[in-house]
Amino acid sequence: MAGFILRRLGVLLLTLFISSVIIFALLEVIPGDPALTMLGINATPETLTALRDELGLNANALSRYLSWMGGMLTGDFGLSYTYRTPVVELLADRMAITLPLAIYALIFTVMIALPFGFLAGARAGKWGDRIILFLSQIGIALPNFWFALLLIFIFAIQLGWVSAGGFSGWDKGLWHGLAELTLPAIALAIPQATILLRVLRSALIDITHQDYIRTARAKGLSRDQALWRHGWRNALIPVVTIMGMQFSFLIAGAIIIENVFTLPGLGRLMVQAIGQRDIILVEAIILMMVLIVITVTFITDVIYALIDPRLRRPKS
Amino acid sequence: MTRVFFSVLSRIVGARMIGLIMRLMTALIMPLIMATTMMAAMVVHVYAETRQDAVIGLQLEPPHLDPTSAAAGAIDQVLYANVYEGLTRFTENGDIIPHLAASWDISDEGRRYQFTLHQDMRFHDGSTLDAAAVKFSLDRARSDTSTNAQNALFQGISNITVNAPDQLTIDLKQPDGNFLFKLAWGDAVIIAPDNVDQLKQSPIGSGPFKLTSWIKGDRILLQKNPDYWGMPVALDQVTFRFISDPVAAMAAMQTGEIDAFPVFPAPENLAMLATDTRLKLINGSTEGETILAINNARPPFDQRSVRQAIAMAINKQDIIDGAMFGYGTPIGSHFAPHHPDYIDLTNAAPYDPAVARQMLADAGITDLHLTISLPPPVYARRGGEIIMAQLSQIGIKVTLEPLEWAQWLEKVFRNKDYDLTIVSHTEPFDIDIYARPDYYFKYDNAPFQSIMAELDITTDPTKRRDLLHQAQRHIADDQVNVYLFQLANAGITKTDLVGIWQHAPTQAMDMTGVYWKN
Repeated sequence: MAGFILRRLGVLLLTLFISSVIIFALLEVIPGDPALTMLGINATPETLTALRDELGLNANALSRYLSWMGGMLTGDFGLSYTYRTPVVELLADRMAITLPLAIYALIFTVMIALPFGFLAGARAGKWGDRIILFLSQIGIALPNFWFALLLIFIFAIQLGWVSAGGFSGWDKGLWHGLAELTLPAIALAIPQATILLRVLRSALIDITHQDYIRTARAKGLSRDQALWRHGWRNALIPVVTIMGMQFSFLIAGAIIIENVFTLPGLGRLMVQAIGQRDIILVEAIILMMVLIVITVTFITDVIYALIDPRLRRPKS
Repeated sequence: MTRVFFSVLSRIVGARMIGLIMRLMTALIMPLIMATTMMAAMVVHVYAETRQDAVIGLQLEPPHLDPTSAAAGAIDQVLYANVYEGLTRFTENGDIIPHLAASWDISDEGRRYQFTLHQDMRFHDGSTLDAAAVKFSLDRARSDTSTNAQNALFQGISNITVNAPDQLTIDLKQPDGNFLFKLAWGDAVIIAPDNVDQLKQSPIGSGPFKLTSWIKGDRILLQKNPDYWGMPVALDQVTFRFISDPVAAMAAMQTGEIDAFPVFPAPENLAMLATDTRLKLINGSTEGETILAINNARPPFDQRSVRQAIAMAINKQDIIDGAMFGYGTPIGSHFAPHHPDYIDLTNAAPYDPAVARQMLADAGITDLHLTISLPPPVYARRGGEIIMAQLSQIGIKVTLEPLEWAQWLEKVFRNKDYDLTIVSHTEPFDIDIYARPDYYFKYDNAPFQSIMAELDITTDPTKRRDLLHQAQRHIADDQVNVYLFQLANAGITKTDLVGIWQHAPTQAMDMTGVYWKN
């Protein structure tokens, strides 16, 4: 197991390094000058030069890459061009919303997908299965931003239970914060849950026809007992795969939901930073997202190995 | 029990009668419930105290809070007049009035300004706002290493002398009829000398509000400054919330979470919102001259007749209706219609596609194919499509090139690599940009430059008015650009909230005169 984790960790670090080079190179070639974007159309050339000096934009690309990487290794992500605060603080502020929101949404997803997916898979073809399938079809077809608007219309405008958006911080207490994140989390979770539910259902149906289930039934177990004791674990492999991908999506892809609910999350920060050519911030955010995605993949791999001992051995 | 009751009842009066009774009861009870609710609401209204706070919606969040080192209008929107103050200031109608300076004397043929400041003014941290702080702020703004986005405003200053704690002399290199106007800009505010290092995150100003907290990405809270030197303000607290998504802005207005959204991101929905009697429209003017800028150095646009033909092919009202949902005023030169020295030149290039087509033919232009570069704002993206259709009427083929702001600044503004572009010039009183030969529309015209040079050193109001009329006519006759419309200040506010600026002579959300009507 230790060897397995070490090998995976090595792949993780290599991916991170290659990503950093690609990110830096891409942002190097796109047009746009951060100083000009900040100072606008009335600035004199002297002012622009003064600001470019202050931001350290006049050095060559290689030395800027090296100082960026050097800073990263010591935990110093640099100073944002536009916001003029440390990038680390900006990231931490935004992660304090994006991460809880993603976890909250994932909990909803699992709470909906697992029971209904199991029910539908175990009772494939029956009425319960058909109703769940029909509803999940709607869930998949539902664009999440539209669903979010629907939620706002019902719960904020018509019923007035919650505010239409915004996030006033965690200072007012955990419950207050969670209350403000509930609608966005549901809007994110429903489409994800329906996908996960269908994955679990088809995995269970596959397993029902496996030899070992038939053997278990022949031993005298009921269908549910057989599925529960022998099928469940095997069905989890595809479910964990999809969940890992969904969590990455919830972190990096929540931007539309963040906009609809005006949540100050990571996605919105990135869009702003790209518009303002706050390159140092864009680089940090993308690298951060890469790190999250590959960490999630890494954790997924480890969970595979926990579920299925066959995966712990290296391929020979 | 009830079932027994109804079965007995139905036997007596018949099922149809029961339906009738039920309907009658509903007809009686429903109005009763509604009336009670309304009375309850009225009672609540009577006992509700007048609110002491206001929540204002803004489209953009300031990147940081230093108005003296960025062009971002959002910084001024939050801080101008509320937190930071200058020697002079803008009013809602664009007039310049004394602010930190109580009075001034102008001498030496307009080269010397002697300011007298108000007494006992303090910054939010308790330090004194005196002539030394003013000198410090203005010297900082005009220094060689300054990163002030409007650095050019201060280039006419030759020397600043502190005579007494409340006395200050500013000497100019040459007379400047616009000097007091320049001092009113948000980029010319007076900052606390001790606070320069923290300026971007925790601003210390002298205004009637001070910053209490900034929840990044969501809101900024201002609190009343109890020790304010001037007239106290009515509101105890002001919250600025940042919502750029049109749909989210709609929802926030509909739930009543936001009291006023002075520059609303979805003008198409304003008419619908205004049908609610608790809300009313804000429809004023801004300093934004929206123009179809032309690269005057690139053939065939270097010919006046070609520019004239393009101008006459464009129906400005169609663009205002189609791209801005009717909000905006047509203009005929680069000058704001609400300015006292404005003259109406919208007829300098009247809409007439037939004449325009003939002019192109006379100039020997056939088969003209041009590109219009479009920055992100809706006036440009939607306006570009309408202009494309209008130009095709006179046989010009148009390619639209959508650009991001950063790309636009680099390609169009800095490298002047474009044919036509649409942009709104939001700086107040900026007709002088036509006197800069290297400005992005590449208009190098000696007579116009001499008009502007003369205006710069003229302080007599009648002569200035005359020169400004000449200037407006000159660039309209030359048809440097196609002057489309003055950008409107279109938004929405709760009817009971009084004092929100209708016009936007500078990018400010001045909350100092705002209060709730009972």
